[in-house]
Amino acid sequence: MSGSRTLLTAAIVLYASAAFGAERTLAESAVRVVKLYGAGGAGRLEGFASGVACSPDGLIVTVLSPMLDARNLRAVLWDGRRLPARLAGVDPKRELAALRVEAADLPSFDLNEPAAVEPGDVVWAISNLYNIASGAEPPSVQRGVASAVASLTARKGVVELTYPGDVYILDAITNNPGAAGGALVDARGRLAGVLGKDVRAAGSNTWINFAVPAADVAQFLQRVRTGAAPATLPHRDVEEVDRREQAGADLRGIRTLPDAFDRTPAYIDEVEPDSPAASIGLAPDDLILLVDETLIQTLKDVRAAMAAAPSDEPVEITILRGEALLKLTLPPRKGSP
Amino acid sequence: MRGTLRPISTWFPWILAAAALPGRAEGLDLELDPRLREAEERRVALVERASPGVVAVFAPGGRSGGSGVLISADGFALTNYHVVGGSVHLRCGLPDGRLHDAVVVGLDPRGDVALIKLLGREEFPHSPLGDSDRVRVGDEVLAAGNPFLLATDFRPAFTLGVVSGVRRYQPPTADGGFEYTDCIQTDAAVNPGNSGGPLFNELGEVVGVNGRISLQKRGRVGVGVAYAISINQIKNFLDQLRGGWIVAHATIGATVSTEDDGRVVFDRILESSDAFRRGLRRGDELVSFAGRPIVSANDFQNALGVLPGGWKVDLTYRRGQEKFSIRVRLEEARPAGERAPSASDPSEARRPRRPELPPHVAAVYEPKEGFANYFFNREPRDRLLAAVRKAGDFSKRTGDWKLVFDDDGREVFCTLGDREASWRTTEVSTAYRPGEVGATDPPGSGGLLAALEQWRRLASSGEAWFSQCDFAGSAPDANGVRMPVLATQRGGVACRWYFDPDAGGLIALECLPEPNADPCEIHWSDLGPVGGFTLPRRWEVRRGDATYAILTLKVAEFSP
Repeated sequence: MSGSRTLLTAAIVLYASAAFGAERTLAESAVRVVKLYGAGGAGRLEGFASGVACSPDGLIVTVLSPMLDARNLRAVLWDGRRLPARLAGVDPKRELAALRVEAADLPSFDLNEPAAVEPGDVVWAISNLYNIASGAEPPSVQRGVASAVASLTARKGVVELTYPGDVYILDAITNNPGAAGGALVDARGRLAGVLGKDVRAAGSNTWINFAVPAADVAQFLQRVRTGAAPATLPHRDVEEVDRREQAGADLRGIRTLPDAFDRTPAYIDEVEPDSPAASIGLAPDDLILLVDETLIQTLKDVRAAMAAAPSDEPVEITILRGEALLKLTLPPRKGSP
Repeated sequence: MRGTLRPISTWFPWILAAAALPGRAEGLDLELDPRLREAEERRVALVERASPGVVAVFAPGGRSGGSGVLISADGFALTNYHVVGGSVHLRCGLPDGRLHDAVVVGLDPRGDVALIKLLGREEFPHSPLGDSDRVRVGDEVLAAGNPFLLATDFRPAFTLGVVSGVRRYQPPTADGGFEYTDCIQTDAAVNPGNSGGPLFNELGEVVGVNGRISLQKRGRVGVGVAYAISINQIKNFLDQLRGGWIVAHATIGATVSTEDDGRVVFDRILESSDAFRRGLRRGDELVSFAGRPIVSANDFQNALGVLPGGWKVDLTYRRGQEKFSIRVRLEEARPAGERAPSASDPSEARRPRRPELPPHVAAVYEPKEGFANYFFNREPRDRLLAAVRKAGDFSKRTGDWKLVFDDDGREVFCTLGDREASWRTTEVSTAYRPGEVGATDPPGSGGLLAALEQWRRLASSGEAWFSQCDFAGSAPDANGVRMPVLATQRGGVACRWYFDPDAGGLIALECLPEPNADPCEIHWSDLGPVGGFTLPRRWEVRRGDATYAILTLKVAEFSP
């Protein structure tokens, strides 16, 4: 108990003083975060991400994503330089990827000196979330606290990802488009981790903000340097998951209008008899507004949200019927896995 | 998984409880670092100091609303344009629980800013304005407002965060056309209802007005990305907003693009633009603009977007190996689709029918084309007109005016009258008929005779002679000192009259007898007795980059 009290006091003091003198530390860290551009840019796949420079000679770490499956993968450095990047290694278990750019003087984090983060420590997340910054503009900075060091079983669509070892769970909202691959740094500007991809926690099905610890990143880079890490993208990757989300979603008996437009409104057209949808009285002309906490604007949103929901669990569905707003619980199909 | 996440719920409340209740911490047998207690006390004091000026803004009927912040004791408050919308009358709740009526004063539809005035109190609590150019990434900031319109007692919610980015550019939205230039990005929680509320720095100064959040695909709120309009941008427009205008942002009549090698190059330029007349051409590289180095197209959008039309700024460009510095007059940008000041504007028709205003609101509201509320133009306009009258009562001197100038040893005889104005030297003899369109005599002056005629009319007839005569906010001189401006129109001649911000007198005139040309500028100084009045004796006449003449007023005769 006394040990944790000391820790708590230290954490509070750090939190209180974190803002003082942060400017320089952050500026020094920000130049070590790169903007990455690759495949995507349509639908739910962003063509952009963040990366962390890990060696002066051009080694960059980011997260595995379909974005990397591009011939013209580019890294934009802190000074606006736009360099071609190639895949140098992947860690399919930790969902990490290493890239290489031709640079001799890249400002980079020293992975021999990673920060070890304890729960309660103040951390800073630095990333190009939402692709807000372009060219030489600095990436975005968020402040948070490491809420826990814990194991993580996550879900990307219907695929479960189990991270080996612990990750840092954060209270800052880093689960945003383009943030994955950004840097997590401690109050002294040392690399604490790499921001994880946008996944949900498998247990709670909520979006989770996490980072892969720097020590794991260092180990991965060691394998990349020795040639022990594969340098091709695994095909099991989320690309496939995303395709399945789009096409093969089981709507549990909801039949919709043909998805004829870019933004077909999410009206129910028919309800399959004896289906879960029929069992809760969903009816033609109901307009779907929310699936769990996901806002629905188009049919595509419905398919994506239903595909993302675990097929063996009920889904909260909010509909507009006439002028009434109804929140219903759509059960899973009987006998679903 | 549920088990592994439990530390969130055990750690977090502990930290919050300890931080919020330093006294209690002793009860828990915790040793708090005195620095923590100081920081906490500072923050509590800051919230207490900043709270009273935070406004809960409601549209009449209470169906929608947002937030705002009082910035003066007489009740002026800032909020977002998208909070006010087409409303004239608003209801504003203050943290002391009182509800005040408010009237719209000025609008910035492009920049998403509205100035409103709260009514019904002698002295309002208010917050000082900070300097948003000094905000740094990592600074702690507090957002205040009424998220989700939850506060029925009007006491604001404060959310703490840090500055995530500065000088951000967020392009115009498809629906509203709001463009956030040079804005502050923060991770402080900003949600619907926070719109128009202040972003405070650690000193309790307003450094921004919160108005926009990134949501994108998930439709969630509070994703840790919010944007505040920088207060320095608002300061640039504030005098015009106070004058009741629907303000226009600036355009330079040229666009830039970033080349592959990183240079920012002008790729299009209008021949009618001032920049073109000053020598700028397609292919020139932009080096600095309005005192800021430019290294990206976004930099330029940021530097330009914070400026009102009508201002003059310095621009440096490179052509080949050579650098050129010019001073450029900015035009007003009124893009199609913007809720522009026109009675026939279709968006005007879409506005809901205005309900009858309460009498005390109606008393301070006056609709006029181009204005959000012309009532607020009258007072500053009349103050400038009074300053003109104070220089001398010319109201009975409506006959011919005869002026004799010395122009570098030569005499100039100038006659100004209702039917004709003339200019005679040993070399030049020209005349101008008032009302003549596009007359720029004497040659090379850009319309000095027309300018003098306008001056005679302003002095002898005042605003009555002009078709338009309005307070036009303020504009900086070459040293950055803001001068109040009066804008007039008559017979196709547009004038901007500049006044001394301290002494109040007229110090310069820009007169434009024809569109898309360089105006004739008169800069007045050296007050002294002439013709029975105290008048400026030094008249510097300029056009474009050139000085046309430096005249000394020797003799003046003002016939009744």
